[in-house]
Amino acid sequence: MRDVFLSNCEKNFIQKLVSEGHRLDGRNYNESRRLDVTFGSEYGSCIVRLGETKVLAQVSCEVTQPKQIRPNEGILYINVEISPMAAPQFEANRQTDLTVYLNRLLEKCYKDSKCIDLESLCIVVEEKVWSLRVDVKVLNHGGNLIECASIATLASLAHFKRPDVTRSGDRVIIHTIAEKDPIPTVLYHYPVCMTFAIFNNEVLLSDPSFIEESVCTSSTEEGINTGGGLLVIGMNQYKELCLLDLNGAALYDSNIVHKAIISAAESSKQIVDLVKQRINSDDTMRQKRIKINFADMITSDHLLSLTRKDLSIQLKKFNVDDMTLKNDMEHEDNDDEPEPSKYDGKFENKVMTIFEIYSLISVVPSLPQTAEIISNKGVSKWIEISSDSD
Amino acid sequence: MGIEEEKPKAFQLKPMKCEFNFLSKSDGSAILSQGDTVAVVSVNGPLDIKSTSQSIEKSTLEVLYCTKGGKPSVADRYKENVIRQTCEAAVLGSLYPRTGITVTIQELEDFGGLLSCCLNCTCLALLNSGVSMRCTYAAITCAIDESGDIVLEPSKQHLDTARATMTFVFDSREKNLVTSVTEGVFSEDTYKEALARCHAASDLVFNFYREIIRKYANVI
Repeated sequence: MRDVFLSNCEKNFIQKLVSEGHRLDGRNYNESRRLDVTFGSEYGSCIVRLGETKVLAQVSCEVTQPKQIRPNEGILYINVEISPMAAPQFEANRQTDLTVYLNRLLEKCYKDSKCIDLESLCIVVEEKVWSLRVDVKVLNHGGNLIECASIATLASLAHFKRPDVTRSGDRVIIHTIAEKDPIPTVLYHYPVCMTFAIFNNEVLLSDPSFIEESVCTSSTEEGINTGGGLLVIGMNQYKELCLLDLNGAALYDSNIVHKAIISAAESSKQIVDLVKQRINSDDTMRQKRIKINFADMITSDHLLSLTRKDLSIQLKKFNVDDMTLKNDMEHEDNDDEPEPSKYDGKFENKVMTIFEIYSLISVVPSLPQTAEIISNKGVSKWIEISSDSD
Repeated sequence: MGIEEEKPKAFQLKPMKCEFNFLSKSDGSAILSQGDTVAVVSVNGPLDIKSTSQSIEKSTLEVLYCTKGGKPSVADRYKENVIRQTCEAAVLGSLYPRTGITVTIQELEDFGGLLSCCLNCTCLALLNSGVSMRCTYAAITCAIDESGDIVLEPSKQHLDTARATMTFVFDSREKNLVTSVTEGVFSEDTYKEALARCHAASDLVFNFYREIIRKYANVI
């Protein structure tokens, strides 16, 4: 993995901003980004979008021999992959510390919390069990991978259905989905990991963005620890704690953990409710034989430009309606145009006005605090203003 | 090639949908659906790579193909190779010596014709990333069914019963054949006919590229 360098400027700016009670994208301290869960055509495949962070999860199953110490339990295997698609600093087919950390955290959250009924995955004791494999692929790393990946894992596991099996004597018949209805996975509870960024050992930011994550774990110019870190809390919908993990500086104050747990309890309920609701609506759609496909994710109502997406600064009290585009400025610009010199008879002064481009696009409010540029239909054009001199 | 007159646009390709800049961290990205088959591609580059893989005369193209689930297989590496060779023909690598361009392809849905969908999506992502290109390219898949008929853009059911499948890639300038991937048994005449049919169909893909670029030219 290539190093990602963080400038002192950025560090100081973010630290100062947070200490003054703001965040770069205009959120409150305990506000999360928009969460969206989309399911694919197969059972157990989903894409979770948390702000700009996107994670794809796919569950697949196969029949294997059980482990000798647990002859009547199925196997759950979680595999996290971060390809260069997530961000340019990641290299292909290379395990990084982040991959291992993420893998271990998800295993702790979903295997060690015993949320899946592994015994129901058993077909023949000591011989055949179902082995579930969750492939988590990071598509875009925009911060808070842990939360996004854990929601993706949970949603895909809850959405997954395995083929039905019948036993006749020694033979085991696996039915296709067309023959017999598939069986859903049994989940006792729905744990989710939530990340909190700690700044200066006192401020708690939920759902940190990429830059907030990197600033809070870094030290200052002089190498002094800023008392920041990342706190991961795994919690299920019954507000039971499943996992705690701290990265970065040591905490002086146990109250901050308590505060984070209270905050996590609220958001875990919301997240699990959203996941359940999406799975239910997906189920009813499937029963009505409506085709569900990842292609539904592609929209043509808006066009995204890189300039908008890279602009991560959003103002808290920004109101798009206050901004009016002044097309008449174009005329002013014409007046200001310098007169062509009389010594240069054939000189043609070509000025392309940027205001002409503004008239082609319009700024519309999209999210509460965001503005989105939507273009008018038609080809963009440069307007040539030529002033011939006599 | 004469075939075009015989079949005056009687065929239509499956509906295509595309969105650019789907991923914010990549230099260029595109998501493309051709019918029910969907793929996402991200392009990063030209960027610094380790000196052992640098080339002094052109940029090194790295292609990574990821399946949706399961372990990586030899078939994936083969696909990677096909895509890399096709991209190398299109990208003007000599403009960026000693650098690397990474192309990452993620399969999302496979309902037949995944390879051509990946190839087309890669081309769109390269266009979006702003890497200089010699030409664009369009990929078309066809299958030869049991009775010897040619089926353009076959579905999963067609592919399961097909005698052979072929994928052709054409460039946008001279409409020459860039890549040809075939599987199965077929005669020379069938190959020529399939080539001609796909050649004619590739115009539709190029038209789609033009439409998409026209739409996005306003905002990029």
